[in-house]
Amino acid sequence: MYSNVKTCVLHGLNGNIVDVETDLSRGLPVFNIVGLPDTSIKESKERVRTAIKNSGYEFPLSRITINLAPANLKKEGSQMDLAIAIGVLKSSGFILNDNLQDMAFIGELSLEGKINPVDGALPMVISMREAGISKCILPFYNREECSVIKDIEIIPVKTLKEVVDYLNGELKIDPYAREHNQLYSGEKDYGVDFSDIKGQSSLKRALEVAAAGSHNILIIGPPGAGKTMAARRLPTIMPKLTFEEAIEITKIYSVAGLLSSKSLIEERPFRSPHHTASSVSLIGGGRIPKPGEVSLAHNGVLFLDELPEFSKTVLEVLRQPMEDGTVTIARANGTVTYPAKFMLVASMNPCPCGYYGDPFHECTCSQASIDRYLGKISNPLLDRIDIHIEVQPVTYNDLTDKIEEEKSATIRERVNKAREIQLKRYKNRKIFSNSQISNRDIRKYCRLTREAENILNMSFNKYKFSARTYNKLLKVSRTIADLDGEELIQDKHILEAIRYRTLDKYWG
Amino acid sequence: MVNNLEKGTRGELIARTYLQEKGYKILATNYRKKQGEIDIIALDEDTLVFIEVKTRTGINFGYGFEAVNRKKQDRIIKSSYIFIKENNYYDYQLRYDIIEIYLTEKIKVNHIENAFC
Repeated sequence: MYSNVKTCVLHGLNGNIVDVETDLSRGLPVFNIVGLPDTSIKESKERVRTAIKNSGYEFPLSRITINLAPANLKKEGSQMDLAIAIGVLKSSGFILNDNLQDMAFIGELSLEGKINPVDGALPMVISMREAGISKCILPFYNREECSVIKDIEIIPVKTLKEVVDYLNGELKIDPYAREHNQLYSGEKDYGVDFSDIKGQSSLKRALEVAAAGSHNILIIGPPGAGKTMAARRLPTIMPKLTFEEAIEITKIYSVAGLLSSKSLIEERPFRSPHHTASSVSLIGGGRIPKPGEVSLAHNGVLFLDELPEFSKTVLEVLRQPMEDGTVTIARANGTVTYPAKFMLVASMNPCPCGYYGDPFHECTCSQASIDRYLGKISNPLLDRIDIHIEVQPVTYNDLTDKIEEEKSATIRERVNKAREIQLKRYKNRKIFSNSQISNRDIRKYCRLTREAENILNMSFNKYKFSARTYNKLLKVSRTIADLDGEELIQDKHILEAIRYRTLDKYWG
Repeated sequence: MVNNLEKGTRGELIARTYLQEKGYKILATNYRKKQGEIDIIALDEDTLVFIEVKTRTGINFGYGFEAVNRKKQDRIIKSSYIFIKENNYYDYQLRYDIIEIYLTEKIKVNHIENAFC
């Protein structure tokens, strides 16, 4: 007896629909799975056999052949257990419903017959919807994350018996749906605030610009000036996530198995790997490529503290994802592309001892060691960082000043306003911020006044900017103009943007 | 001390009556080929069952089913194929069982269905 049920396997963030064909025939009782299964699927035999028995059904005594079609696609993951069990039960006549073609099953079985949650449920459901499947039966614990997807019925189940009863019409399970168009927008207590930072107004302004346009930023200064402190407070002024961005982030976290809240991720990620990180941990990898830090920081912040302490090869691998916004990992088992539109925030000292250029301390480093230290950051990498900001040590007056510093909430309001202008401008263009404008569109969106044009021309000739720097300048000044609410980029905006590009003092 | 051979024959007899009581149709006993020997071959409705009988007087030598190792299973499976060919039992579902018989004061029969394949 033949049966056919559908399930899904993930390849990066894309799901492929897989037909689980089951055939029972007479002969020596064996249980074979063909169609390029990996170890976790081969092991599912034992889980399926025991789960069927412990759910009160009889495991058929016959020659069972399972084919996972398309047979040329490598399959991995334990989410196929449920579909295999349903195929076996359908073939042996425990399931009477003949209309299984418009639904798909995902879920891992326990020996007891319970259905365990799986990784990557959200991207699977999204691809099922694209493949025209109208109903998805999935583990109860994955229902929150998947409920954001419309046009597909989500049937959450807890046990194998529930699924059989549901398919036989003996049990009614309501599709799980939740009104989820709106993200949580209330105030969140981060425990830190920008008003904790005394003085350093130029640093704060630079971070505000960076957050508003999602620009990469490099903070350079002596120890104790507040670089790390300021960067750690960056999440408190980051703009609200849009619904689409939240889904993109949740997909990645779902695949990585890092979805702790079980529902949509509603804040921008802030990832700060330690400087001993390897290139694989940053980019992603493994036999079956998993997303790395750059993808986990998608639509959020990747904070690299003490940038020169990272190994040079690790830093250089960041170049391509910073430019493309995606990262393609090639392994023997397949090539996977993950999105990686992150905002890089890096902080560093100007020299090994930290006091080079400090007005109060003497630097004890030799010129050679300073050169070596700065040389770890290559020019191509620096070129990709839109905003370079130098911080000076805090003075005694700043620290003891009674002036109330600006609160994060006030800054975030301005940032949100600027981001809304951008979202409106790039509506339906699949870009969410100024930093993502493609080079082709740059002239269309970044229009300058005549004075601004003159200043740009002059500075370009004087500082010998690269073509990329020129584009970055336009994008940053676009953001500054958005913060001001201006349609055209004016001379003061371009001047501020140029000020963020001059670190010739260190990298002559 | 009972002779092991006698003990085995006695056990097989007990197994046969047990199966007949259960409604099995016995097709052959001690079916011997060069590949190995099958103790009992029977029909349980439309399932062809090959049965290995293990007789024990106690569990000092381990449980009966433990004595049917992979090598023994392979022998039974190989000779079962020959039986199928010789007697044209092609269109039947196959099953391999083990029957343990404990010759204690109260004789105990333990039938393990579908013990291996």
